Amino acid sequence: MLFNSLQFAIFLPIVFALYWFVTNKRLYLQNALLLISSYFFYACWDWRFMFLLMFSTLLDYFTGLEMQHAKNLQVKKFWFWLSIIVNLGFLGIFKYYNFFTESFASAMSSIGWQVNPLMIKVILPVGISFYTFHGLSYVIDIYKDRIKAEQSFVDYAVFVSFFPLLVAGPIERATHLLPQIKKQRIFDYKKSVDGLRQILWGLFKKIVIADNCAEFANQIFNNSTEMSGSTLFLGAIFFTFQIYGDFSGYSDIALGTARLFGIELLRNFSYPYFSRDIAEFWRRWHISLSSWFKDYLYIPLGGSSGGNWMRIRNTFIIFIVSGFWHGANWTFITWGALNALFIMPAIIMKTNRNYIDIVAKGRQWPSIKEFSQIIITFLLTVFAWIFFRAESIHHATNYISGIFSSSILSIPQFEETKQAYITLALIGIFVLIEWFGREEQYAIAKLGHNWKRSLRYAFYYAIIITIFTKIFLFSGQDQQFIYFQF
Amino acid sequence: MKKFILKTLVFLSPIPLAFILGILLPTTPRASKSLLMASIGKNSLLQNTPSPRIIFVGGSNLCFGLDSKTIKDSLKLNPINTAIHALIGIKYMIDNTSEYIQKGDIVILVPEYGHYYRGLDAGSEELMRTVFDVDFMNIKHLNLPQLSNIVPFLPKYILTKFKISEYHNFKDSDIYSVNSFNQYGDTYTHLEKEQEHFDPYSTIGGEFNDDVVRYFEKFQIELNKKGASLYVSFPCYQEASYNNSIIQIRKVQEELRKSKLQIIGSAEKYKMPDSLLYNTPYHLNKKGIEYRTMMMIEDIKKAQNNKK
Repeated sequence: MLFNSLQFAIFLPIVFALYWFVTNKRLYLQNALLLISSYFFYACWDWRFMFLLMFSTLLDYFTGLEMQHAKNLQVKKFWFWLSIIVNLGFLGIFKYYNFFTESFASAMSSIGWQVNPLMIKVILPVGISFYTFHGLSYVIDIYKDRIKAEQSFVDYAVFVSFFPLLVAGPIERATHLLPQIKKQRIFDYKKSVDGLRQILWGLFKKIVIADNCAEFANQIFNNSTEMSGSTLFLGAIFFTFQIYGDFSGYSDIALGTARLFGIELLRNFSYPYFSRDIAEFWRRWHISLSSWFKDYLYIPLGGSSGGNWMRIRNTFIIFIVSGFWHGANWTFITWGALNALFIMPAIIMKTNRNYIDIVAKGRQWPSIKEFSQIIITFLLTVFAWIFFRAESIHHATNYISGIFSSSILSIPQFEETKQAYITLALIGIFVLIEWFGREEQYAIAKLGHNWKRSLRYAFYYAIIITIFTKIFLFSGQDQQFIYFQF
Repeated sequence: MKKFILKTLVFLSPIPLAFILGILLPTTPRASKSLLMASIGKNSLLQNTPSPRIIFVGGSNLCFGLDSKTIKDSLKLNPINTAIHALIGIKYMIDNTSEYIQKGDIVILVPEYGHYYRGLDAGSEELMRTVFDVDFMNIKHLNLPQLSNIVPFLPKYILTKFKISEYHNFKDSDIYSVNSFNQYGDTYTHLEKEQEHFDPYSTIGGEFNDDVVRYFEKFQIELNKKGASLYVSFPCYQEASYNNSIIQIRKVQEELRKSKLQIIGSAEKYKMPDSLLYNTPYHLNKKGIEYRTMMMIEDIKKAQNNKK
């Protein structure tokens, strides 16, 4: 069930009505409803994978309890490693097995040994990387005595499988979400309106920005050998906005939906394309994953405590692992490594925390210096996204050499030129709205609060009409959210 | 809570209201020039053409593939070419024609190959527009599954009602227009035009649908009761497209031969080289129309002689 589908438009009001009218003020019933709805939501993709989710949930729930009640460290360690191995084992089998066996076979063939590895034909269970990381953080936190094991299975299961975050995050922490699940929720009018507004903005990002950009990005990346340098450059720009609109749009819908149920999820995006350096970009892009890697990988590896060499090594490790988390392909690993390279000057010179606040805070426009920094950072991310989107390293390198050819100065060519320019204009409007709303959690959170109600409503209707127009007049097929594949 | 729900409903209410308004607004000038509008004229032909009559039912392979005047001269029958667009669905075409059948009518049913591999109740934008743009009373020919299958096409339809380009400065197609048909229901505006580039159709997808053949048999019984007769034939089809779906086409032929239907011609016979085609694997040019019409006349004569 996609967030941008008719099924979800029917599902959400039904669950909302049951939640606040039928199970209201009875916390255990509300949580049971959330759990059933979440399993139903997940089963709509493929009911068979529900058993994997249930198994993973049961494993971590019992592991948590066993660790808490362990009589000695050895028993605790046993349960801890059991959970880690099984969770990562599932992830490894479903997501990485074929990659490793293929890479092994290809390495062997390069030294003259022909190996025919056994490949498995399974579909990657949707959201496996996300709920596995939920479970892992929970188990690690208990092992490190940061939290107590959850006693209620239903509450724990809601933490893992709460439907707004189940398939593409944000990756929640037990310390943040579980207390909210255990606390009585009271309907809050302002928060609910805010939730709806964030859903609307998320839908706009996904349907209008990402799906429009996807059409051109796919067209250009799939036929890159026939395209001019300028078209290839615009193809990379289209993908840059596609992935941002897609993933941050999903996160907005997830956060807005959760807010309708009185639950605040972790923020996942904070205007990353307005970053002044790559370090800032990574504090603003997929925040829940970056902070997960920081807390559960970077710091356990020694973080920055061991001097420059350790900082460099650990930074490379987390970026490469982050790339690998996105998919079993050398393109993702290269994308991660490239980002590590981009961030390296700031790591070495210890300037990686220079920009904490949003750019031009309290001002309308950035200074020339800030503007140049934003453009340079943006272009570096565009460059790295080429590897992320390409089918192979060879494809990416050819794509890049295509950009830096003499045809970079030619007029870009598209199959549907008018539609391409409309999409570029939409990107321009979108960037402006994001810019003016950059001090809020999402761009239209406060936009129009001082306007007359009629004007504000007209603005919201304009967004709705644009969404409907895109869905019903210009769309081909429903576009999946990119991050579902991770 | 009540305030939230009430305000949300009030805020969202313009959306369903706009939808209702979109349905109620009259057919746009662009849509009123469309090919589908020809069904009004074709129904009028079905109603007013005197006997003896020969009625052709099928997709655009018929309207872009027959010379009814030659058929009239050769068979001494008054032809009515009811074909407009394959996506209207073969069930709708049959149900719509059925109501106008008179004693002595000869009905030549020429479904396109895709019809045998689609659900009888499949919906399409063309079917939806045949109801909402052409004549709402056409809804009587739709069963419940067909109705539910055209619903997904409604939002787009409604939004087009609010598009300025539907009312002003639209370019009317001279090929796919209500004005593209002659007095028998054949398209004629493309006859002097150059052939256009097109790619062959890929393999027909899906499973063969037995219900389609059963529905034809039911139609045959109904026609026989009215004193009319039914012949099922094969569409003209580009050779390359034919080869891409040869297994599926053979299956069609095999199932038709096994049925109680009277079949005329063969799939192989109506396979067309590119030189006889106009702009799709189903649409013929002037030479193709002449050739196909002669073959059709030959097959009909043969079938009538066999009957005697």
